[in-house]
Amino acid sequence: MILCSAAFAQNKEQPKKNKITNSIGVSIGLSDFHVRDELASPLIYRHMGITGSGEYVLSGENYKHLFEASGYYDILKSSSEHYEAENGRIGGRYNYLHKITELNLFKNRLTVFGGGGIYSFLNYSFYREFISEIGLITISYYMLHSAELSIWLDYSIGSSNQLSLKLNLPLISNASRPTYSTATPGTNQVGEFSLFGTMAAFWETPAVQLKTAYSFKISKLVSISAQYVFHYLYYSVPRKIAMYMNDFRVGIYFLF
Amino acid sequence: MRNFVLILPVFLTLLFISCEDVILGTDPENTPENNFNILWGEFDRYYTSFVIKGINWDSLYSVYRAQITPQISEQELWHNFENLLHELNDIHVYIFGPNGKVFFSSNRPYKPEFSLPLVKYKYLNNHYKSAGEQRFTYGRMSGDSIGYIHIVDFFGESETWVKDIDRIVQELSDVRAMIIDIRDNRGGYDENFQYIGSSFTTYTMNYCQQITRNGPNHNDFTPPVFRSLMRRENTPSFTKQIVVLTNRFTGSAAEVCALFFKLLPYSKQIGDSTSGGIGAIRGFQLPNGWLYYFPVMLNLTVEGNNIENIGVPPDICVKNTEQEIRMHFDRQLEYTLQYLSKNKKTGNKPNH
Repeated sequence: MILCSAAFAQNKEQPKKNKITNSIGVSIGLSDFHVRDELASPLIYRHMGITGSGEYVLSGENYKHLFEASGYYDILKSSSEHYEAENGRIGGRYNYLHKITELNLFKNRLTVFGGGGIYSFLNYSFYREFISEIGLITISYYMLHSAELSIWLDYSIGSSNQLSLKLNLPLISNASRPTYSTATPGTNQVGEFSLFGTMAAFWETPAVQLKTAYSFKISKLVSISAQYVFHYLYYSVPRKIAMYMNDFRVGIYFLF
Repeated sequence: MRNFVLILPVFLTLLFISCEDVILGTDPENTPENNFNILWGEFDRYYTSFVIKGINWDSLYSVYRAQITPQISEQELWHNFENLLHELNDIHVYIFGPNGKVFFSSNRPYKPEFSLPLVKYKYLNNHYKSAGEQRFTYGRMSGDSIGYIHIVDFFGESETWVKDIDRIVQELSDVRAMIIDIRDNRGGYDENFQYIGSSFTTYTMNYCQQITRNGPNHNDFTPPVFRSLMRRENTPSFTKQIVVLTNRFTGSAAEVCALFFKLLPYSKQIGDSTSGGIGAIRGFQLPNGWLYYFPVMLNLTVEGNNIENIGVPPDICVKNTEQEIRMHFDRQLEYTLQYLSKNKKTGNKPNH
């Protein structure tokens, strides 16, 4: 407790504030993805695929507007060589974050933002088999539109380095899944993709996204970044789907 | 302390990467009991025809589950599944097992009551063409006045073969009647049948209803959804007299095709009832790697009648026998040619 108090105490000597900048950039990397979708298969599917994101942050003295889009594609594998799942996912987010406090932590500046926003996420999977001539077991998807709570911590180390941590927690979501049962595509139209589903509170659709990033300003206009994002989602209708992903990305951002 | 702040993300990364078992659990254990329970449970949850077939699935669980022990061999487990699924006697129920084994639940053995080579050399006088990746065989009969199209199945990617029907209909546009032969056609994808079917109507029409399991009780189904077929713009169509030939091995999407032609006022169905497996399937997996398919959706007639296990009955029943086929005699086709020579009609517009 004493240690924490000491660590977070606001010094009289405040570190010099950086100039407020907006940023826009892209990042690309690998995603370690795991999914168990009991509607499609009793087996867990997993693989390391390609992920990317684009981000635009509009900053003011006491606020940030974040616009973010991300995507992923891969062929997931299961414990059986006869099955795989072609998987794609996309997400889009807008967050408004207001500065809550600014602390001096270990002689560096820690800025805490809090706020919320909206987030849409779609994961779409083609479950395939290499045993029969049919080849396609089923198609499954999980789509989520959420109102979320966001916390963003920026820890500036000197004038060029910054460590940030961002946490997003959906509070209420509209979740869309396939119907109770769907035939193999090509044999019927029942159970088509639906953009919207049913409303669910956070305990019915628990999800979390945690992003840590280390960025280094290589000039006044450009910074590079290494990022790690953990993302977890769960829903139980019509059957349990749980997925998580570890994204490792490097990005380049233009500051203006 | 500064190092601690830098190490935190690395720690979190390692933590989350190594925790699949904690977050998602593990794959279901590959034991005979687990494989049986998963297979039985998925049928219980999704299979469409327990009620119409009068099958007590719970009682079958008691009978066949009792035979499963942890020591049971793979071969014994396979036989157990064969026997269990055989109780369903459904052309759409099949399982792929070890070493390429496949078991079909239907207990109706295939009988060669149709021969495409016989049609080619005897009735088309070897003047025939193939199209659509060999799925179409077509030509002319009875002094070129009757067109003939046989369709092997409705599988395959639509873009690559099915559009050849436009060229075929164009080539045969001058005939006064058309025979659409879907005998031994084991089905395939609805989209392919729909494209072909829309060459034979000039109107949009409903041709069947669909219901899908939507609950744990065996008679839980969605409200019916009407399936309709739209005419295509700027492609040739044929709306003169049509005869559709079917037999007991006309199955699945080919039965839906028969349902569609039955609704056309200028079309007659001649032959035998179709196989009576008119649902739509999906695949399921087992922890041991086996794969099985069964119907989760049923096609009903446009009036809402369930013809699963019954088939689409012909307007005129004519049956072939294996012996006649061996003797180079296709009774169904012979009858059809006589029927068309006696019943010359011009095309009518379908009711809609």
